[in-house]
Amino acid sequence: MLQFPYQPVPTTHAPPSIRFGGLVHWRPFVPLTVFGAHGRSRHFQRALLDPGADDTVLPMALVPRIGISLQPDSGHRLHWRGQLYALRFGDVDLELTEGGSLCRWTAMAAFSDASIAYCILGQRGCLEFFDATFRGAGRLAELAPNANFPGTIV
Amino acid sequence: MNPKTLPTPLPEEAYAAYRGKWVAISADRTKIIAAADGLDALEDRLAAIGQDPEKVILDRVEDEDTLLGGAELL
Repeated sequence: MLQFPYQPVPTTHAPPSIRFGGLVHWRPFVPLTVFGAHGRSRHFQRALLDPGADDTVLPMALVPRIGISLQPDSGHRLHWRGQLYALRFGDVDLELTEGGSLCRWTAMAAFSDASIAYCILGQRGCLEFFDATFRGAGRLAELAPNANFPGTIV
Repeated sequence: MNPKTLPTPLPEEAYAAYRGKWVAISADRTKIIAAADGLDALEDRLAAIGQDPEKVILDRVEDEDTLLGGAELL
């Protein structure tokens, strides 16, 4: 099982709903490595575990940089801050590591030019392969690969 | 490179000058070595200074107080 403590994101204008933990948003971030063709990769310090997202969404800028082959435009769109952005899909390898554990799998991810602050690890491509537990009091996300996990566990 | 096993992340103050930008953090997590408005521009900047983008850690520094909600990603 991989365990990731929530990470704090400071806020200068705290909403009244913040009751515990100071002037920060606590978010379930994980470090993520994305692999494209021929092992080319990029490391992201923070990707967001998001059970509310249908797909895993990565920046379109990655596509030429690590050699991702996109499928023809399927017409799907992402709604972000009031605008619609094209989504294009392609296969990548994703890797999560924690301590001495590593999970790497091939996923079909969506790519978008929307200015989302983080890579989004949604249901398809990521969370469908894990039994995920979000421990609110402990601010800890736990990911246990499930029977559908299609990759390598070390 | 295994980002999770690297040393402690930079303190939040280190990001103050980079609100709204993508940043490249050195592999040892001791400093920000490049920044740009977009990820593509950051890659160009890394190339210009001779840095291998596979050997840095990429991150985006939020520029405003944002309340994230997955509903917009449905």
